[in-house]
Amino acid sequence: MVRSGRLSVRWLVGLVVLAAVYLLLQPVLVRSLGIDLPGLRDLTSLVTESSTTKRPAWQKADAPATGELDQILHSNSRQTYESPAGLRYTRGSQHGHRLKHLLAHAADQADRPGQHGVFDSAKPEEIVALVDEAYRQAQAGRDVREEREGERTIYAVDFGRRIGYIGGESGNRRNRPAARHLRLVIEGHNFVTAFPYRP
Amino acid sequence: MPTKQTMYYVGFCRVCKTGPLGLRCCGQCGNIVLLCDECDAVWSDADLAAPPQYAQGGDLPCPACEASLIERPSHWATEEQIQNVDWLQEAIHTGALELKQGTAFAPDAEDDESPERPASGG
Repeated sequence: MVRSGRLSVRWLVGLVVLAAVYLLLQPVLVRSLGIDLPGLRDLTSLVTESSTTKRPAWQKADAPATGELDQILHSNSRQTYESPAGLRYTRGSQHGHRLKHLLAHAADQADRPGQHGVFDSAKPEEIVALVDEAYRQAQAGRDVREEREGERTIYAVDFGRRIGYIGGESGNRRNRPAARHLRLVIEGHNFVTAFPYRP
Repeated sequence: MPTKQTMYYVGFCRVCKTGPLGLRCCGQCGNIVLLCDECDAVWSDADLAAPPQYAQGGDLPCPACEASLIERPSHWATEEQIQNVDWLQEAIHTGALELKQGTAFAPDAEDDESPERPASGG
């Protein structure tokens, strides 16, 4: 049957004929015998699914590329990063870059005075995507309160689901209550800060 | 790894409604301002109802000399420095501002100029 690792032409033709006969008889056998046999469509979808890399559930089609975020977060890069929703993260804040400042809200600082909002996720791309979601929701005017303070706009966005908790001195005194709101501060399209909070 | 820094503060920011208003000392001219530890809004005196100053081009210039309030040698003010600021002392004595002590959110890495924590907390 096998010569030098290849099928002979005769066997190859035989297999093709058998496959064709199976595909012709498959619907008849399913109807008459009541058994479940895979058809051509099932086999095609099986091949397609296994050959496609699936995105994690949280990662939307416009989720930020992690490479660019990593470059800013793990170096002294002062480059401007623009999120898929159009928010610009520039250098600034005492963390040196607004992205680093945002990511500082991925962990609690229990001795920080007052409330310190902490994101449930610690992944930069997930946090940036969450801020983008808030920004889009704010622009659409859904479940948002808006305030102006000079050049700044302060949004209070209700996600309707848990996104983090309240840490810091105040939050830790109250056993870190859950937060489903995000406060987002921007200047034009420039990001200033964002963090989970409780109204 | 950044070291935690003690910071004197006098309340919380009305802009972001979260950040402690830390007392920041300009490293060039010694001017002391109220700096929000969260959103970097700055007030030059105790009038917190006045419009704050914001960062410009990624930096935060001192209202007095325009040196960076973020970069070194600017730092969180020490107790001694705070005692030498008339408007601050007046606001504290009249009760307009209440001086407290806490830990800064964004410590300057390896900065050894942060104020020492006194035996009794404020």
